[in-house]
Amino acid sequence: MTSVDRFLLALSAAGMVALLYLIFMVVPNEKTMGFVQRIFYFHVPLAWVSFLAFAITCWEGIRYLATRDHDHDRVAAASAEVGLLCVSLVLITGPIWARPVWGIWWTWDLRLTTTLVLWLIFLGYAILRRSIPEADRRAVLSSVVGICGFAAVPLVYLANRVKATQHPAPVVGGGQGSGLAGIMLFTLMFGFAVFTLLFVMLLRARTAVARLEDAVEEITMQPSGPEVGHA
Amino acid sequence: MPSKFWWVFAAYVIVWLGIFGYLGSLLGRARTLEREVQRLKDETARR
Repeated sequence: MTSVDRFLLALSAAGMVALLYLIFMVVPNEKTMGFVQRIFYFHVPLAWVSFLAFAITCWEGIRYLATRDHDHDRVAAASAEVGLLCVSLVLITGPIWARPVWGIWWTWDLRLTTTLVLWLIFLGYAILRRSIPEADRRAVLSSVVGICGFAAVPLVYLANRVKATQHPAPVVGGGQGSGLAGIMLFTLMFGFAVFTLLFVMLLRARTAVARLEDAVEEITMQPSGPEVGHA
Repeated sequence: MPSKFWWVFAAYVIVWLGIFGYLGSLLGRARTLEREVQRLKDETARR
């Protein structure tokens, strides 16, 4: 762990404590949903971070295809893995919020279904990477999947903007009638900042692991190199 | 205790476990791989 990583870890830990303070000590209960609406302050930033992660996967995939530099592929894969974790957490926290508010865990409305499709695409991406041992072929195919898979992100974003859904209407950028009270909006924005910081830290850590994995592979592939697993 | 407290508690605990569990696993893997790289380099140098 580098000093930059330690700094990011300390900063995101401090940010998380401040965010929890805002969520549980400062922000008032929402009028219709009450206390349970506080799940929103983790649920929405996690969704934002997953969009950011898949955008980076797409961008780094394009850069890999243009340059064939494997470092772009490592960052793309690392970002996809962190994004998959975040969208998994969105799909878990969503039903935990829905059950006490709607009385059901899940419904096949457009926002929920497109989010599930996004999760399945990047689950497929992760499975694809594990199933191809050859580095060049793995990088090319997963870049293509990462670029195409990113197309699902705008669909998820627009799902409850173009069509009324069971999922709540957007509160930020949702047009007329949408919006949040001042302190709620501040807490949400602060949540975006904290989770983005956390994402950067996780992305750096996962990319560092990928570089080490490749270093091990490179050494063991050398003609005179030792075999892995010998103590 | 506020109404529906346990729903909120469950959601937050799952998010924390997910994120910090993942971070912990990454740090553990990084440590193992660093040791492995060093061992392989030493072994290659000895040959």
